Amino acid sequence: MASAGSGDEKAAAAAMITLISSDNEKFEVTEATATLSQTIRHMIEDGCTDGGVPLPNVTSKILARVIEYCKKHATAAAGEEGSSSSFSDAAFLEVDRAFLEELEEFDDAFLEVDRATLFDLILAANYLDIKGLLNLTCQKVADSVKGKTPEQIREMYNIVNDLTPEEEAEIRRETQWAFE
Amino acid sequence: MAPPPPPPMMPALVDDVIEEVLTRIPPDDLARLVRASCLCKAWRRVACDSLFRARFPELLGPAPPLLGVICNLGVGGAARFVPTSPFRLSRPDLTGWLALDARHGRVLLASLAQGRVPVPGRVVVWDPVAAERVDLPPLPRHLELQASPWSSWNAAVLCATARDHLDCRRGPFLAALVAVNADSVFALLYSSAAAGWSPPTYLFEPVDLDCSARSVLVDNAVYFMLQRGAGILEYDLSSRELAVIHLPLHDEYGRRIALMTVEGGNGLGFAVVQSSRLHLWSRVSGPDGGPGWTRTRVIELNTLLPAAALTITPYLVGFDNGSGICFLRMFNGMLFSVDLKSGQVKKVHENHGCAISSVVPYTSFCTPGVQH
Repeated sequence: MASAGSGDEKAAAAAMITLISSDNEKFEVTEATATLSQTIRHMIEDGCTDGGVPLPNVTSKILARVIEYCKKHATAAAGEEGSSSSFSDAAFLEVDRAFLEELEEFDDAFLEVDRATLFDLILAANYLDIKGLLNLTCQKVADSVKGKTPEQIREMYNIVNDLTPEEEAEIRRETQWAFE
Repeated sequence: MAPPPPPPMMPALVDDVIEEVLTRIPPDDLARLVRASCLCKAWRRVACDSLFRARFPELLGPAPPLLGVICNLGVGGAARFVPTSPFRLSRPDLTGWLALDARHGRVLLASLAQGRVPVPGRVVVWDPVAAERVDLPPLPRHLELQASPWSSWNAAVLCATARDHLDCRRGPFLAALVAVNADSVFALLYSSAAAGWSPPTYLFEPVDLDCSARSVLVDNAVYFMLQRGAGILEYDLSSRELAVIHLPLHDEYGRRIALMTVEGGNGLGFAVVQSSRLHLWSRVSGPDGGPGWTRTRVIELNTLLPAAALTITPYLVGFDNGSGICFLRMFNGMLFSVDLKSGQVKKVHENHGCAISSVVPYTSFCTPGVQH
């Protein structure tokens, strides 16, 4: 990105990373946002981000959501690091609590997606190695199968049952108690 | 050429991610894990994967979860599995058997078929989840018992895998058997890999063994309770040597004493009920370097149990070392579990017929529903 602004703006521009989705859309994000992904952090450390970071496994639709998550959580991380010197302990705790609540609300709203998007987010979080996002999305799936039969879970997530009838009968025989 | 299949509506999760989902199922909801592990080949493969199983105990905490207890009901009665978790056995009724031990998903049972007494010649090691049993071969003829079977033998089941107990349920196992002869006590080891008994080791000391008190494993030795709390018999599995350890007690405690492990399984201890108090003891090095004992804790049961239950001193019928839960049977037949860490008390079972003589805790490391 060409920039002819003041020195401050140049410094900010220098810390920007370009992410390129599988459908060739470009996203400009700050380094703080991008490095929530351990995969991208390693690329930055190795100096391989010139000309943008191609992410062939992530579509623009999903990458936009992932960036939305990272932006919010990067702010949270920055807040944690910077605030202890600028607030008294009591005030800091107050701010912290309010911010954590806000973050929780953000996460809840973030998970309001259809199941296909949820799976895409999980795969992206896994590929980009974003711990918080992986935890959030996988926990959502683990919670969603509570009290469900295998048939109901397969239908929810469109999982094709490729077990042979013999394999299935064997599992049932061994673990009948889990199906009662 | 056949047309390509239509693209799936949903992306398929890769194995890494399936693992991430499975590990986030709460460990006390084993049924949810079992159901999620049989969705398709990929989910089953991950649940079967040893790496996943290796991770699961971490999430479960240091101790395997207590799934239930096998209650032995009186002399000649029927053993019965009583769940303490959502786990259920398809066949909980074990009439005709006495449960002596359970470890890592395996249960050691003695047949009560001959004259309603447990016979060391008829011992099976049973895996209730896989519904598999191994009948141990009878003891060599010259080792046949001469004293009453109730006071003359005991046995323990151990996995033969030295280090990794995460999925030892399907691996080789050992059974340690101790028994009293005319003038000695002897011990021998069954190995499932060798499918036979080791030669016996003897100790020429008159002792009576208590087959209603479960043994404990500390380091590489199994400890068996002697009758009436008279002492402990040590069977060292490395040297195959036997030794009697004396206790710092003078009264006879019968079924009010139970062996336990201390210090995260690295030390030997015992619990004993005296009137309304539970005393915990640990083995320590004595002043002369020999074994000594120290009382580490006294728990007042009056504050934990209903007062009416304590009018007669309760029996200590079992102890689960992993969870630190002890089992107390009241004079009225009720069985309570007392969590020594949290002080939490639960009623486990109410039995109006035969009194429960002993309980064997059943825990599991395994992920049910998975196999190689």
